[in-house]
Amino acid sequence: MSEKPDLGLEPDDLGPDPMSQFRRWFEDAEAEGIHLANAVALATTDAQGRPSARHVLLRAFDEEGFVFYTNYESGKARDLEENPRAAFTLLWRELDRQVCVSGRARRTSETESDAYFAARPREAQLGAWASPQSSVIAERDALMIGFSEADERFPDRVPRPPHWGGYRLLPQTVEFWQARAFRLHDRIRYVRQDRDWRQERLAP
Amino acid sequence: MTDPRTMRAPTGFHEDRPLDREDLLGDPIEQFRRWLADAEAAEVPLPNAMALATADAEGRPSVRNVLLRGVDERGFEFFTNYDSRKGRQLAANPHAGLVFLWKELDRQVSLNGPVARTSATESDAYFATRPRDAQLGAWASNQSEVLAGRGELEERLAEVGARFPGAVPRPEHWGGFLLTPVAIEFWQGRRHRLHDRLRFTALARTGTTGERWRVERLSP
Repeated sequence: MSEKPDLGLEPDDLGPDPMSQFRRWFEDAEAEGIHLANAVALATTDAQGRPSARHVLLRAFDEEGFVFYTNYESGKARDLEENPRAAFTLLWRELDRQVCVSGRARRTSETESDAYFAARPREAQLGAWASPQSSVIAERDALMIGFSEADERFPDRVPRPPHWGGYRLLPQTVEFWQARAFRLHDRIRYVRQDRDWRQERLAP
Repeated sequence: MTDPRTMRAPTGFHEDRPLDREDLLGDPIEQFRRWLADAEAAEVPLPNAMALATADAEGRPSVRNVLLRGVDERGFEFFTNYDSRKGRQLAANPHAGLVFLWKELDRQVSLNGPVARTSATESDAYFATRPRDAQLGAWASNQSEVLAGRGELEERLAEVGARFPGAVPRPEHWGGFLLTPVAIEFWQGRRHRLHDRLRFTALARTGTTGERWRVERLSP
């Protein structure tokens, strides 16, 4: 870290809203050639309020929020149906940057899920039919059998399984974190206020 | 709107590496150490970076990255300011989730369990090994509080530098947490999204043949 330039982050450097700022940083990460720059650690909580986290791939973002797809019967989806509050973080180690988002997740429309599913490779589409995500399975073979069955059942177009689709995380807070020397990192947080965003600097 | 089809597809699957029950050690902490060593050997940057998920008393989650500072049979240790948001959340709701991602190896480890503060002695010992700049930073920053500007922080750093010309003692509001895992999942990315997932769950009582963990395969 010490060999890299000490890049400062001032509120004036940042976009007027967090989504435009996120787009800038995301483009920087892609320009840097970061592998899986769209991998985010997604945190949800169970009915008892106990958190868990796993990575998902961000598939789209727009002025409304951040989109990812999953099996609606997976552990994270069960958590989200119970408690739609969620958070995620992205770490771009090569840029000493981190983004932390928290908010509320809402299912994407069927139309939006269909459109994304149709764009996936056939193998991934068959995988969505073959895998009862997060259920205990006896052996890997069970999965391979499910995959072959789905392949025979859908020789042409693979429809989206009803249990598979997206969530859009509607952000309430978005924090941009840039590492600085002496552990005195820059942290700028946007907090949603009705339709606007308030910006504040946090102590590192 | 970013068209999902224009976003980069996962290109990572370097070689299709299967993960079976026989590939794992009997103890998940030992298995974790092995994968961490693999990540170090593969020169993954910051292999000890992990996303820490906490939640407030109302079950609202938040997540950020922290560095793993120790792992042993008791669990996973990290240090922070106890007055930071995560510190306050852990005081109100002492459960957390952790996840490591080693993209270069198509591997992920996720775990969760109860969290407790480490002893003052242990926090002192770790604090003493930190660089002076980081020690002064721990005094200068009221972590997660709103600041008027960066100048405020730099002034405080100069003040504490003058206050502690020699050894810097550990601030009382700074120390460690230890997460004792009740479940640890090892995830190996595979082709066609048919990943291997094996989960260790702690048994309430040691099993008849002395086993302490149940191991299950999960559907990807």
